Amino acid sequence: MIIFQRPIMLSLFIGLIFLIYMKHIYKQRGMRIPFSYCIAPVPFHAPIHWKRFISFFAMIAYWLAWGALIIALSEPSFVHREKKFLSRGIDIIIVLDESPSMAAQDVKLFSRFTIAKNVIKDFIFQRENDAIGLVTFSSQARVRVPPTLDYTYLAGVLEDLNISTIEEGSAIGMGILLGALHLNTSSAAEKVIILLTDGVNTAGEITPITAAGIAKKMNIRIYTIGIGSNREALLEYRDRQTGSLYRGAIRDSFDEQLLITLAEKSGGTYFYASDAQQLQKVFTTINSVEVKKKYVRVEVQAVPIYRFFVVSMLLLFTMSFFLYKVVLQEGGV
Amino acid sequence: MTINRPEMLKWLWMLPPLVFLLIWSYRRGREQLRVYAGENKVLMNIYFIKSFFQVLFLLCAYIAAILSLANIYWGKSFKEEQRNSISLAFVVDISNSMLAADIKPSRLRKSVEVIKTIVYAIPDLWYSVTLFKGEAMLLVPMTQDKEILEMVSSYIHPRMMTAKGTNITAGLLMGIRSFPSQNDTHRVMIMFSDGEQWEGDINNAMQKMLENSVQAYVVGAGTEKGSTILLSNNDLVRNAKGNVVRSYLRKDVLNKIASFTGSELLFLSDPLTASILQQRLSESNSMEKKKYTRQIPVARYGAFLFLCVFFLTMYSVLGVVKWKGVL
Repeated sequence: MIIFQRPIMLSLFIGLIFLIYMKHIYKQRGMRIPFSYCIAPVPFHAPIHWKRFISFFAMIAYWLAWGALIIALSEPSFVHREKKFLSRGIDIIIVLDESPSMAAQDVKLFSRFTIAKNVIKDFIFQRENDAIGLVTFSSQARVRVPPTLDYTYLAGVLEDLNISTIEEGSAIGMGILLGALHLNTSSAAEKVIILLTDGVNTAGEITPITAAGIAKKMNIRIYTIGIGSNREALLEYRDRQTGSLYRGAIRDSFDEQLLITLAEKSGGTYFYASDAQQLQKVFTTINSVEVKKKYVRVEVQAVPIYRFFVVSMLLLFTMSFFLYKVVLQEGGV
Repeated sequence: MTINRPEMLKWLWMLPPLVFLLIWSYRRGREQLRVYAGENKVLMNIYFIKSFFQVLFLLCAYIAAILSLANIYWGKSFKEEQRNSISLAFVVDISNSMLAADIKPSRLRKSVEVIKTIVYAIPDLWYSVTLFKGEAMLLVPMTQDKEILEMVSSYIHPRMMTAKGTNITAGLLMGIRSFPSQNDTHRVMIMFSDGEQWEGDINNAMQKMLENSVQAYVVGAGTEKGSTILLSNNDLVRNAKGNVVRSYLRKDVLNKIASFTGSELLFLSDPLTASILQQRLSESNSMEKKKYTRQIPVARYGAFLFLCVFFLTMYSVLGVVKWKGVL
């Protein structure tokens, strides 16, 4: 939306009417002799058609230049409103399995990993004031993004994520522990870990149960999501190092009992999602459950755009002047 | 006084052709007048005086319009803001000159130490870390997570980026972008740089800081005495002729950034810098909602636009006023 910071200046348009009157209507103009067209060799003949057109065009440009100048003077600004949250939201860390089994395609063409990435991205942009971080794990766990409100940055990192092709195994415990560690210094009253996995804990120095216990002590709730189906699924992924494409079939499942225990131990909930729709529903459920009262203030930011009008004024005025003096050869300044 | 858009002054090239056109037009008008009024001296004098003032007013109007485009700032005004706590964007120069050891262990390591001191000293602090060289990268997005700083700080080194140069503007713009729009906090930026061989449109970055209510503290890394730059292979940085390069602290550009946002230039060589910053930031970081008054520079383009309107009005009115009485 565009507003004027000094709308009173728009009243100068009334003065502009006076100037138009003075220039075009007022007849008593003293010693000025307005013989602008073809003084010699045949004086006083009617101006030819194209010159009348240019004269009209030059006049329009002249007054448009004045209009642009008055608008610039009234300081037009482009205004956008920003929601400012006065209260602290929830801190969330998404712990995502990136082991090769996540390349399984329960649904044609889309791997579990791709589906998870897309659903998580949708989830991120549904939150407004909650710091969200990302931890991934295969045989090792890594923090990819600390809990942040910079959702664009987070979505960018998520987009660039690939399945880990050099590590096998799932260190679920390490993933939870790393997530908890990065929530530890947060000032948020509520902290949540969302764990997505399709496997069983096969790696890491700490068991998932112990990690969940530590998280519980830090007042962190864990939502666990088991993804994938028991059916045989096509597995396809490309090795980032060599570029080779690997294909195969997989039939495995996650440790459902472990995920239920982890959720119960920390006060969270366990969900099962066999496909993209179900995973979307799970995240919608979490999104609706994890809400906190928000206090919001709307701040108005104004960016001045007067430059456009000043440049227009300069160009229009110069063009008008050029047409009058050079093309129509009007004498005098 | 700061000219925020000096590139707009290039529009002044319009003036010489305009003057030429005006003189040409004046002479033709005089000839036409002579055809119809003969050699009337009084008339010619009036024509000259009128033309002279019209030219003067028209040129002044053009100059005023161009100066308004240049967006000149002078003077300070007080802006009251009501916020709670602060968001802090650290912007760190990681060009090779930051390896100079005139500040021990090096300008860069000392900068990182100061960052860590501040982050650990202020509770519940939102902070981000941006690195820049020939381009900029966001290393840590705005977060309260202190562990991540511990993890990444040891990796901060010129080798992290291949782009050569010191693009302070890119660093500042990335730092500004790291402030999430939804945070109702004071936005403070702390930049660490030696200010050497900088490039980019610094005025653009300063304008963005003003628009986004960002206050910038600048920490000058280095000394005016300067130092050689020791690379990790124990070789010294040399120029194209093979001479050893000495790196110095360049205060001018750093001072400009700090003073424009109503802040101050501090020095990494001063052992009190970390505690001064800590003290300033702790005052602002209260969770209690407070009103703060901040000094901001005042844009004067409106005054130039007023002058432009005045001169153009005079130019136009002069062309149509009665001159009968004079004769």
